Amino acid sequence: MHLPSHFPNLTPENHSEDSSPTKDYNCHAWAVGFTDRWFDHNNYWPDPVTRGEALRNYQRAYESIGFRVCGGWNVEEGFEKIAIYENNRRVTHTARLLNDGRWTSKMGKSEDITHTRDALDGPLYGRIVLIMRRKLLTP
Amino acid sequence: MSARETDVAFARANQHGIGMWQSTGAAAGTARAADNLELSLREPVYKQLTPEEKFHIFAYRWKRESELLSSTGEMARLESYQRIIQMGQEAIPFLLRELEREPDYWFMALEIISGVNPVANEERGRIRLMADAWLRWGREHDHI
Repeated sequence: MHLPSHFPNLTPENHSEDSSPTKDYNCHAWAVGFTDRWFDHNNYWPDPVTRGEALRNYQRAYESIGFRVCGGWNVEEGFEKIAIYENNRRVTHTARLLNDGRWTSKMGKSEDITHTRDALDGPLYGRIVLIMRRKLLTP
Repeated sequence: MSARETDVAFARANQHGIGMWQSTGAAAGTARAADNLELSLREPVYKQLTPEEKFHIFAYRWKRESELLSSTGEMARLESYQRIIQMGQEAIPFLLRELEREPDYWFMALEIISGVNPVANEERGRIRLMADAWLRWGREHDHI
């Protein structure tokens, strides 16, 4: 994986690789707990949400599975949180907040990584534009 | 495509006179060749490559460029993917053989070229099921 050239903020100190590469699932699937499907507007997509790469489409897709827009990216007991990235008005990535305040991301067809909040900001994924949270069934 | 097929394509390009496409079997040489694809595409010698060799070169480059992308729409907008779509019907057997060897998100190219989509709604997003559906379609229509 050629991470540093795509992610200028990413350093060996602020991320670790956690899995082997797989094309079975992507970041949007991983963020909400799926590891058996590719979640995007051309593949798995919750019905009856309108398919599309725009932020509103992804927001509605995540709302359809229980997430709601929220304000902060701090850990909140009883909730899971996701951060949606946008670049050139298209959603590029979703990361999930871990209990220790770091984030986990599936990097396209490559590995899962754990990283700090701003580590993936850059020309490929853009930046975080929306935080959503979902109540955990078993907090 | 197998590493050998990729290397053969680059080796043939090299034989035809693109000096930067160095050495058969050397991964670094292959990577350099892919990086220089845009320059090479302007060379008259590109026209001497077979359709399969062109496919292997585009496919190799697309795999590298799409590695970190999660949107199949973004993957499909990459030039290398578009060049495969522009190959039209002759790309179908190459795409299916590549899908058989290593499933990847070639489904949009297949759908655009063929005008059909054999993937059931409940299979969408499950790469192995999608690949199986396309391979069944390919066998039924004598593409492979």
